[in-house]
Amino acid sequence: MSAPKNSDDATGPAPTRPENQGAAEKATRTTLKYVDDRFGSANFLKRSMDKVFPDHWSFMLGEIALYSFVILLLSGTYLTLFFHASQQPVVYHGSYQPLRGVQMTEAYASTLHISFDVRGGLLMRQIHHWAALLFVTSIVVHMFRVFFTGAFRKPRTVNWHIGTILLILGILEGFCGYSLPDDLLSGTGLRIAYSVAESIPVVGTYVCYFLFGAKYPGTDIISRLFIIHVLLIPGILLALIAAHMMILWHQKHTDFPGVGKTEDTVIGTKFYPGFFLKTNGFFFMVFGMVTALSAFAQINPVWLYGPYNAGQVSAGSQPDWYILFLEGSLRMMPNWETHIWHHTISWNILIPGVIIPGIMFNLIALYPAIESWVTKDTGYHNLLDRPRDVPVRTGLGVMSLVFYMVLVTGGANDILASTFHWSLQATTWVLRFLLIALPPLSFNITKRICLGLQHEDEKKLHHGVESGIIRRLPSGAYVEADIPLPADKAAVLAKQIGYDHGHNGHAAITSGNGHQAVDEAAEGITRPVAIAAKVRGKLEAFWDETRETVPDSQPHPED
Amino acid sequence: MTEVENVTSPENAAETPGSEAAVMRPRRSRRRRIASLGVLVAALGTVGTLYAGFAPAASSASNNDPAIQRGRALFLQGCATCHGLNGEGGAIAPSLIGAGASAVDFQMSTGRMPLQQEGAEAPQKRPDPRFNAQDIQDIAAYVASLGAGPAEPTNLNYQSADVAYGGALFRTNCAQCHNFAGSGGALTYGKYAPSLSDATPKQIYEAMITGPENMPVFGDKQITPSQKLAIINYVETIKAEPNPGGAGLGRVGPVTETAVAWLVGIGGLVIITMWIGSKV
Amino acid sequence: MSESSGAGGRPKRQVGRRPTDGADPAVAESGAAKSYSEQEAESPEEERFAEIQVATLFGVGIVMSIFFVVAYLTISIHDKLGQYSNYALGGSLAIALFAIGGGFIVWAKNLLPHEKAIQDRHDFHSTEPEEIEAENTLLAGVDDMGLGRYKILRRTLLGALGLFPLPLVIMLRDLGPLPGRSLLITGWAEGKRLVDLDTKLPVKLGDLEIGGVKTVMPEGFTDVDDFALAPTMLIRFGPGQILSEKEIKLGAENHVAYSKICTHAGCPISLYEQQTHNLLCPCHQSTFDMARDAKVIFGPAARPLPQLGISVDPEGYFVARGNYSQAVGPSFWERR
Repeated sequence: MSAPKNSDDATGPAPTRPENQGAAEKATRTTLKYVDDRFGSANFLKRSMDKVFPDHWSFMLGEIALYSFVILLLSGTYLTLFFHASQQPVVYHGSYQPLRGVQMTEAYASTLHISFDVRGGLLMRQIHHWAALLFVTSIVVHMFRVFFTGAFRKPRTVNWHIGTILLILGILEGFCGYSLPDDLLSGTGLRIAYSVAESIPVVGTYVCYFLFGAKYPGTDIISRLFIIHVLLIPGILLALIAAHMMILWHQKHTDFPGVGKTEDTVIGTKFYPGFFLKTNGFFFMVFGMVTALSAFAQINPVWLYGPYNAGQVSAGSQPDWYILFLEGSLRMMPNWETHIWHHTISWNILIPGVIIPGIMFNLIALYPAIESWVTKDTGYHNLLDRPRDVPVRTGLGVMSLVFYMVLVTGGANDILASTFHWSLQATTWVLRFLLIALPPLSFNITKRICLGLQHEDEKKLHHGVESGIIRRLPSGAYVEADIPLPADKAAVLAKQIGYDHGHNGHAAITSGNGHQAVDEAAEGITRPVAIAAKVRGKLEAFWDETRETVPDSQPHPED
Repeated sequence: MTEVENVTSPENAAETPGSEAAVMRPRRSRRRRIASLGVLVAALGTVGTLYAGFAPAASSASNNDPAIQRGRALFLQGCATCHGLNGEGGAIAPSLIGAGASAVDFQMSTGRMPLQQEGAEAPQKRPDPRFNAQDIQDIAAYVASLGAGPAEPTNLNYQSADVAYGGALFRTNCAQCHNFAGSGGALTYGKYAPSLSDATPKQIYEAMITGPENMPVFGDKQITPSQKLAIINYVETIKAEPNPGGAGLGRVGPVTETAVAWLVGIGGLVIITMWIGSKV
Repeated sequence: MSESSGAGGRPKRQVGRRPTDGADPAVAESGAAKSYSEQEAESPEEERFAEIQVATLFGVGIVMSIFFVVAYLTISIHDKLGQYSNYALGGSLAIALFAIGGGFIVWAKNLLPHEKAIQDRHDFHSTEPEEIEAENTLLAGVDDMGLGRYKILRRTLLGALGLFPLPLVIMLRDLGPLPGRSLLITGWAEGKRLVDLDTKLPVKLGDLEIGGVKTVMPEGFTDVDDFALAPTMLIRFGPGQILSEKEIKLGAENHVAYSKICTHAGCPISLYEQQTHNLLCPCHQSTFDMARDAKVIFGPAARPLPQLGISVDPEGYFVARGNYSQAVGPSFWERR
């Protein structure tokens, strides 16, 4: 790395400290010098402050997750000061009248104490819960942004994998926290989680007994979940979030294609002071949003659910939203079960509760590898794709989004049925049908839409936009004149459409995905590999069957 | 009018002699009149006695009660089409003999009866059912006179019952269908357990003892009257109780919280990111 | 490059051209960021107005933070279950946070110089000689250590590293007991009375009306282990309503007892419809026909609910004829 230089004046003379400066400036300089003398940090500090971040609203979605996590750490720490993670039975004597005299666990009683006898305790509980919902929600939204724009591609594949793990851990962390108050609703959720673990062939019951310390419900699970919830998972989350940020910092943020945007540069706001002020402001906005929700929208009213009791249940037992897809898949599953050799395999839980989420998360994690295998694209990508330019990926994304949303809806089928007075059974059957029918349909529709938008862009670029001006041709015919796009817009569009994403000097890329063609036949390959190659070839052809070329043969008045 | 009919509607037994005799008077000789009247009275008396022996005690007690008379008239007008002229039931409606006053009051005061439309679940018609409170009282009295059934609860002094105990009973016996806060929930094939938000203490009590539609019957030996009052106290308490954390979001659990997190939470924050990202 | 002096005595800044394609050679070499302005700076009036905006927002932050403290100290948490307290605390904190956040953002948008910065990206891989050197160093180290030559050392090393986690793993053994046959046991036994879940009083013949349903537990249940699998429903049918001989045989006087624990995921089900005799699970909507051996008629449950044989003892109380004849609750591998 070259010597530090003033960014504003890269070629100027060596900088000097001004003679007369105020006390604050002096103190700042002294502090920086003190630190630099010991760590040699001046260079790092200078480069960090100059770090450039591209400006686009969608690049702030991940920040919502980051700041929600900070809020979770703060509010969670406060809650641990009052919460007792114990299943010791106690009789409640707090100030919530409708539960006074009821036997419950200490965990539940202390949650009531926080809610009704600690000033601001209810607010803090609600802040923690809303922040948890926003944490997972923003991770999902952020991941869809990354997916649809192709930001996961090399060199950012590892960060995609870390993100996937963060999502899974976020869901687990949320579920553990949701279970801690030991109320009737979360206890029912825990019962289902136990049953899901129990369904795992061979080791299921052992897993359950080791996790719960006894036959369900036992007396250990709350304290075990507590330490997992407040130490184990947050520790891993913290480490992985740090790694995620450091990789982002090191690799620099991606940007959308546009004028002046190249694979080799990044344009935007410097970290300090512009980005710093904005991101600080955004932290307060996220915190404000969470607090506003907590002030005016009640969440997880455990006092209404009542203490957990294995003999009781409430209608409409649902988990928090990020588990709802699992709940939905459990609800929609047909009742398959196999009995062989005195053993039972309950597919009705195993498939929706273990196999489907397993496949989903593995597909998420493996997607970058699958895509680069199919497209043979191994180049670096610092510029993003517009979703329309990669119809197959966009189609796959919409398809999985739709699949996921049907599962989530399935998790709320009873609420839908009772709200709209539908038949519960019919609702389930419709959702079962939609789960199979909608994803392929949405893939095709999305692909069509993308191709249509591409077509539209080509037309705009080559023929301009409709002007509304009617001209008469010498032959007497009337035509509407197209005016060419303004130069700056045309330049942006040209960049967006024809951008060469690879580093391999393709002159014109028709597919827009910048793949590198490799002559398979030239390499002597054995049979299984040949089959794989054939599959790959077919997939690649499917991937590339994208851009429709606009026939340019029509005579045009402007030409 | 035949004796067979009289058996099914005992109040006619008392009503018939006078009117029937008056009609006959001009056409027959005095002796025959007296003789036939004697036979008729004897026959009716025998049937009436026989019936009284078999019929529940409540029905014979106040057959001349004007409330019952009025109730019967209203019944013939509003209920008999489906439930039969004498409440014996029909192809599409159950017999009301032995249904009791409680069931009538519950069904009619919630506006479920007279039925507005056939379906998996009888829809309610609140706040004003088709019959007013007095009409319902009279019809209930009439139906009660058809055969003994659960009477309308009289002691509804639930405020002094143990609310926490009621809560525990509610969670064991009621929450599985009506949800933890009485917000209602889905049952099979289009049926549903209604929300308790509009239900009065009396209606809740009546529902427990009569088991309307598909609701199980919670007789007084299974859940004692004092336990029932505790349950009612719990329901009324949580209905009246504010949502300390803000809007209750329908008190249906995490589904509405999901909608708020996505639409307000993430939706609002995305708008803020757009503001931050915009040029001006 | 032209120079312009910023308003309000800010240091001089460069206003550059919008960069065209291809990196500026000077920038590429230095690796530092280069700034250029896209639009004119604010006029002093605009700047003044923006400052007042930001200051107002920060002022709201101050006021609301103080309001929070006052509300905390003065508003009782016991009024309306703390609703007022929650509104006051949450509302003031939210407004304070929004105001401070908004202040920062308006400050950044309206008072900072409108500059864009451009910076080089670097290749993420090293040069080939560097890569080779690193590989060589690593492999030379392996060679120095003699991992290829000292075979016994290598094998024992692998053995030691492979086995040392074993003590750590074995220590997890005492996290819980082995399941053994415990999942088949429920706390029900011959002659045990059926008692109410809440009152713990035994249930007598005639307690239930026709169409009634009740959650019962084995008499004297206390063990937390009993709790998950023992809950049972006692249902009373009308005469002739039970449609299965087997069900009638295991029942008593038109009463039948079935496990309340769903055979799918273990939720306690008791959404019983007394006219259709359907029983619905609130968790995943498995539906059972209670008049026909609790046969599954809809949903993900694969097996009917196990029936508990009951009879009436001489005093008129319901008693269990024994334990359930099969494992209660969700399926598991060892279940037959």
